[in-house]
Amino acid sequence: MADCPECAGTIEIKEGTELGEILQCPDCGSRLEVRSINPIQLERAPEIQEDWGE
Amino acid sequence: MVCALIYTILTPENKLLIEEGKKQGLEFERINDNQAILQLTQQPTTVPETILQRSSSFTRTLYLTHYFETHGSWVVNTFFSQQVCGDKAYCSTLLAKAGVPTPRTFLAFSQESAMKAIDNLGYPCVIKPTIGSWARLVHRINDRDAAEAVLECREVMGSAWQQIYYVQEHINKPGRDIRAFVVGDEVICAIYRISTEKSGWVTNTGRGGKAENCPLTDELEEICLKAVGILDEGIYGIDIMETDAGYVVHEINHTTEFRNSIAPTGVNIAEKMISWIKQKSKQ
Ligand SMILES: [Zn+2]
Repeated sequence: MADCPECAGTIEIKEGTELGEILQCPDCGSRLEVRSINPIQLERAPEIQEDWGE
Repeated sequence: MVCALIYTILTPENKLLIEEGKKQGLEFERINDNQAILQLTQQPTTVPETILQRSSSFTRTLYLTHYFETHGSWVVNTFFSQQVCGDKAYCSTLLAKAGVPTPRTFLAFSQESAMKAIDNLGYPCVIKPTIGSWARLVHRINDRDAAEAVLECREVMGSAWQQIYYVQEHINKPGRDIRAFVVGDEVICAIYRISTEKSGWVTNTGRGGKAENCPLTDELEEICLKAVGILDEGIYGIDIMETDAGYVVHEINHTTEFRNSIAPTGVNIAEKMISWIKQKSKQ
């Protein structure tokens, strides 16, 4: 479990979660990057760049 | 077989692909494009045989793919396909030439000629950047005042890309559009992307649109396969709209998101992708 840095909601951290992984907060929908595993630390994911797209 | 995954961030899609690879005995060597340094003037001793290109950045995608393709890797998708899919102008041109129904579109390079193109299309019409996605800077233009305002803004924006004017007829869609997934020569599934209050007239699931299963029909499969026929064989997400006159293909995505499409379609998209890559790599 970890706290969302945006809304303080609770985010479930699954087994096998990796550094750099992008998670989405189920409460506020923020995209969060896993910045540290032990202890779990989440930060807002990098902003979308101009040439990013699918 | 040495297979690599190129990525910018470990998105849920990339994570699913890595996990599915493990299940199928395919261990990805990871190439994070933030850390990559390409030594252009020295022959690499080895390159991965197969590369799944999942970078978030279109420009990085092109450079990395060109480099590895030049040195013998098979990259999914190919440099040619990425160029065409990543730039709406190339895609429109080739779709139209191949006889795939696509919205009436003009490309212009100055404010003045863009206005002429808009007048020719009539209102409402749509202006989009040729590169980039998730519907950023896509604007519906309802009248001449709006057209002038948008063109004026574009003119003073820093990037040269903003002065490439891609203007398109506005398709009146029934509050939804279709995203179909093609792997190799198979249309594996499709979803309806339904616009919600949050997403407004944009139906992108990344912008709050809702996803529902879209049953595959012969007609839908046929137009999808015809559309990817303009590209090298690969893995694509095709955006389609329904009109009174039938399906219209809007664009083809070369690094398609799919996490919101697995549950509604019941199709394990990552599994299909990995199986296909494995099968193709053996040939
Ligand atoms: Zn949150």
